[in-house]
Amino acid sequence: MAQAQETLTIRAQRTDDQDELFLLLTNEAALLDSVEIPYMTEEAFRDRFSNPPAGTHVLIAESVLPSARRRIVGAAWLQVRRKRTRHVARLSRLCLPQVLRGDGEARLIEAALALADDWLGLRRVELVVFADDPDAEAFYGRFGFEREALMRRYAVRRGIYADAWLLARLHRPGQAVQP
Amino acid sequence: MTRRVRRPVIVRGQEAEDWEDIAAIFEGERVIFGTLQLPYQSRDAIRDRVENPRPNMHALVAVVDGRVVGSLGLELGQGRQAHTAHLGMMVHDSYQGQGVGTALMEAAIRLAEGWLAITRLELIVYTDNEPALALYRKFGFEIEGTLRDFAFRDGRYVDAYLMARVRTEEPS
Repeated sequence: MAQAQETLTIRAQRTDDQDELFLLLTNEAALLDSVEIPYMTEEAFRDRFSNPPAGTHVLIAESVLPSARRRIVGAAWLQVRRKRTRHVARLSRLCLPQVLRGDGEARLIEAALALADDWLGLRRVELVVFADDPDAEAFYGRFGFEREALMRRYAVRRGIYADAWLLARLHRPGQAVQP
Repeated sequence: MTRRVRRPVIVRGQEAEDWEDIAAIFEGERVIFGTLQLPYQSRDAIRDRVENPRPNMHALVAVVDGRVVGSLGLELGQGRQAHTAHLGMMVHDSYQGQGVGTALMEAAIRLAEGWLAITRLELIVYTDNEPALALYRKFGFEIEGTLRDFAFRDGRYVDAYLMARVRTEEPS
């Protein structure tokens, strides 16, 4: 018998996301794949939430349970650079373990890349993964990300200086076809 | 023709009053070509940047004959990247190849590794900028990878190397 399923929505950030997003940003499992640190104060978070750097696009992955209860399970930030690198964006993301490297994160990445390709006309999207994560390359490879640079001692992770890969995906906007 | 005599280079911290000399460096064609700077920048914007540096930024300048002819910025990482710094530099078009970059780099490495405990010092350089590559290699920077279409330069997208000088032994 078919049961009501948990569904996932990708949407823009809203003002009332503040409390739920703060929970995501203080979830240590989610922070492991980022360069964020735990115990961020609510005040620092609020400032970042309401004053993002110019050119930052935020995507929220929200899970909707059969009971209609909603929960933020992931977020992605597409930060577009300026001037001579205005065709470039850095994609960072935070995901709860239940969506990490699964369909949930895939939906989030696809949505962010659709925004980059189809609406912003970006040429280069960068993403960083820690080098000791064997699944990461295969997962992001599905979306066209390729290895570019092994950054030694990139950041502290689980108490050690961890290396990380800079991955990038190139996309060239097409030409209009004449009828 | 007389060969230009190499004059002494003094490196010191950047001061607010250096902004006019720095604005003049930004006008150089070679400086613009080799960095991420745009032509036609307003002197006001440059003055504002020099007078109000970001808090995690250490700026050094190189002085020759009383004039600022080179500048180097060390941007420190924060939190989980507090052991890292990103370096950017430029030398006035007319003073390139005269030891200015070497003097700036020596001072920056001494500051970063001797006083700030930086163990990962990174920079980005266009793959065809041979003089810059030679300078960075001389100071132990190694290529970590090629960033494709990293920036736009004079009508086309160009690749750049990510280079880093990494110290694996911990300061005692």
